Amino acid sequence: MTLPSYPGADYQDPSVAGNAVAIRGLQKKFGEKVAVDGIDLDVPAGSFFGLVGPNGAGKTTTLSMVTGLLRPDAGRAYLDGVDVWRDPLEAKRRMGVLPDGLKLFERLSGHELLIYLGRFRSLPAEVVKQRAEELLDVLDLTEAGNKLVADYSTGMRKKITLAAALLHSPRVLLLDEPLEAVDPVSARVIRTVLRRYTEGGGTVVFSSHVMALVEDLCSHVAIMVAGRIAAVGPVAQVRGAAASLDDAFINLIGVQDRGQGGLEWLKSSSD
Amino acid sequence: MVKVFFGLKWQLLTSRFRSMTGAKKAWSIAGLVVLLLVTGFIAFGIAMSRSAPEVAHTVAVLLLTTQLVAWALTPLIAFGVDETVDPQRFSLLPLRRRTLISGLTVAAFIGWLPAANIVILIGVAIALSVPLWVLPIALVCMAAQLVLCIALSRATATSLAALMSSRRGRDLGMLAGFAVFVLYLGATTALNVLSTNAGFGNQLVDLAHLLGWLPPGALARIPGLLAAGDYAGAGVCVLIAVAAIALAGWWWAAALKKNLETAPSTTQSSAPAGDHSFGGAKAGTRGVVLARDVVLTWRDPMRRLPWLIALVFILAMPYLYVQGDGTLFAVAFGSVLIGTQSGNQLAVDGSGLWLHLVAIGAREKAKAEIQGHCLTTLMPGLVISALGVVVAAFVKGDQDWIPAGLGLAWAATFMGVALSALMSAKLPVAIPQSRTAVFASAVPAHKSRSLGMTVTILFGSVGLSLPTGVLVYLAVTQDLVWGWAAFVFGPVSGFIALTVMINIAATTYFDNGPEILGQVMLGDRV
Repeated sequence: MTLPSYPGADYQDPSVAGNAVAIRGLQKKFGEKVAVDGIDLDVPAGSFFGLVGPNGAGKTTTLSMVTGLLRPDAGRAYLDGVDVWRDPLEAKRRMGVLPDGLKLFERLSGHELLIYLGRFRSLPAEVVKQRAEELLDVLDLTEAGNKLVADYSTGMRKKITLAAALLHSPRVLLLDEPLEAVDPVSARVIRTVLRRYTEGGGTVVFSSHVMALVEDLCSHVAIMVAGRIAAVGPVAQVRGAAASLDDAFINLIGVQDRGQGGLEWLKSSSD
Repeated sequence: MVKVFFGLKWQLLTSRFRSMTGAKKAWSIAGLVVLLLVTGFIAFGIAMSRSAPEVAHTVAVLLLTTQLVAWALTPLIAFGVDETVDPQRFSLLPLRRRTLISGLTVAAFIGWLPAANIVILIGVAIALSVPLWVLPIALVCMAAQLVLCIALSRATATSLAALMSSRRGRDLGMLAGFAVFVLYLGATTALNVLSTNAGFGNQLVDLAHLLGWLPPGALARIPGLLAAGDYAGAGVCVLIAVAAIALAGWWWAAALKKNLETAPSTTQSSAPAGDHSFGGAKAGTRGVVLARDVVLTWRDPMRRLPWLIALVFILAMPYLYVQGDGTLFAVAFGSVLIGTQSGNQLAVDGSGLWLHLVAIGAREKAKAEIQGHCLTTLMPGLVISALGVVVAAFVKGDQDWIPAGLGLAWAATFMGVALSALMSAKLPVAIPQSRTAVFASAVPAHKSRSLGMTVTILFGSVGLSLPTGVLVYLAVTQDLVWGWAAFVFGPVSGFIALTVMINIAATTYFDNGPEILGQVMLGDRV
């Protein structure tokens, strides 16, 4: 396997201990565009960690590299102390993943999808069956369990993907926009399940650009802008003196004046 | 507005060309030149039949009828290829139906295929112009034929638009596509049988006489009838043609009205799912993947249709290839085709591949997945190939050659599966996941990859089966004992090739999983 430019095969960074996710010098370029610019980031174990930033900030690219779905150009990603790209077997056992916008096995039912993925991960058939039924019940998908995934709404797709991420009881959940375009009822179910997960000792890392949501859910937050970490820490610390995290975010990236000026022609008439 | 539609279609064509790389542009231009030359030669050949008016008349009637059928069926098979075919793309624009129809009609004239059709029709017009003064009339008739083709094609496309934008509709389209394939096969067989008869030419003349009363045939007859002074007959033919064009136009307008005013049935749910457990309690990764692939092949027409076609190639086509003794050996071509069912196995689910990648932490897991995909093809493939060989042997009385035939067919199946597995990891081809076209197999950016993969699998399988073929040759020409040698050597050599190639594919898949995902997910956007 071609590894990103590592310092040495046996190198182990001592600073990653105690972190559910630790990122060191992670970098990714697409052609000339630097998507992620050598970032360092620590996610404390047991935290509810929000990764926020405007569109194109590099959130999805970062999460994809941590989940092993996108090879970094340089740097390392550790999950629960395990190097994701050097020991993928152990790292993938410990992580649950919910990417944004990727397809599922569309012609399986929700129930079948969970059974298949559990069996693919070599979990015992009985365990998979019991966990799948429980997850479908908790995520309010029991009735939809026998419908093909292709017929699921956005909220249902997010919930079934979350169920698939939880199926093998991972220590860390990496979720890319888990509440994007989700109806309020499904969103509440997802939030409740994620809260229960962190209360049980799990760590959630999720990306979003909805500040109110991050402020409400997260214990820690990192703000990404143009491929770099602009601020990171407990939510209260990052918010500082600002009225809300949203204000702190806007101040930080400096876009207050956008949306003003011009458009004088815009009236109720279509002439 | 007509100008706008003209500009839109022209823009679509030229922007596709502009977005190509230098090499692709060169290939594209070369392809156009070849198309022009071929159509030019065909048109010239047809025009030459002018010296024998009876032949010209028969050719024209048959050709115009076939052309109309082809235009009517095209939307079913190639829906989504031309953006201007789907009227729903224009549904939010403030356009009247009449304007839309005029615009879409003009747009339909722009393109390489309409241009090729026009060239051929000019050839037909010249062939029918005896004496020469009827040429202008023949040209008008050919223009009417093109309008009829366009109106019928657009009417079919518009009627299908709502259906083809839903999953069920596309599934139906695939079955219809298969029906067209079987019809084509039937027609080829019929022509094959007829052409061996002495009276073939007379039968074609009789057929043309009958088809002469249908709209395309009527249009072909008008110049000849006028030249012969049969104005009443010509009048009847004009009436038939005008009525057909009016009917097609009315159908198009009605379908357009319905299409623009009714919500499409895209929310209609799929067929009910089952409740599979994917193998027994003891099944490993290989068995679980195999069980999933079987379920999806049964449920997904895109996976099922190639199997139906392969069945035809195993059970029917060999009788066309080899009409005397030895038909059972031709089954091997179908066996290669069955092997290709394992092709592009990592791209079938589009970006859904991530579900496997996040669970694959070791090469052995990647290998088990590939083995599972291959077994899905191999197990039924070997049985179907054997069935094809045995049936062909008994039909033709070639029972002595059964061991040789089985050896060759099984070798071809193994080699097809082996190369398919290898190429799936080495050269994954993104499949359009929207599936707006029934037979779309690769995103535009991966057309050359697709060609490379197909050529490698097909020719590679034939090449790797050659040693077994030599043993078969010896069995036929020297001694039947060589047939038993092929019976053993074919599957053994195939199994070895499969083992080696699955190992290479597994290493490639494990090492380059993220890059493979990056390639196959291109299909999500198309």
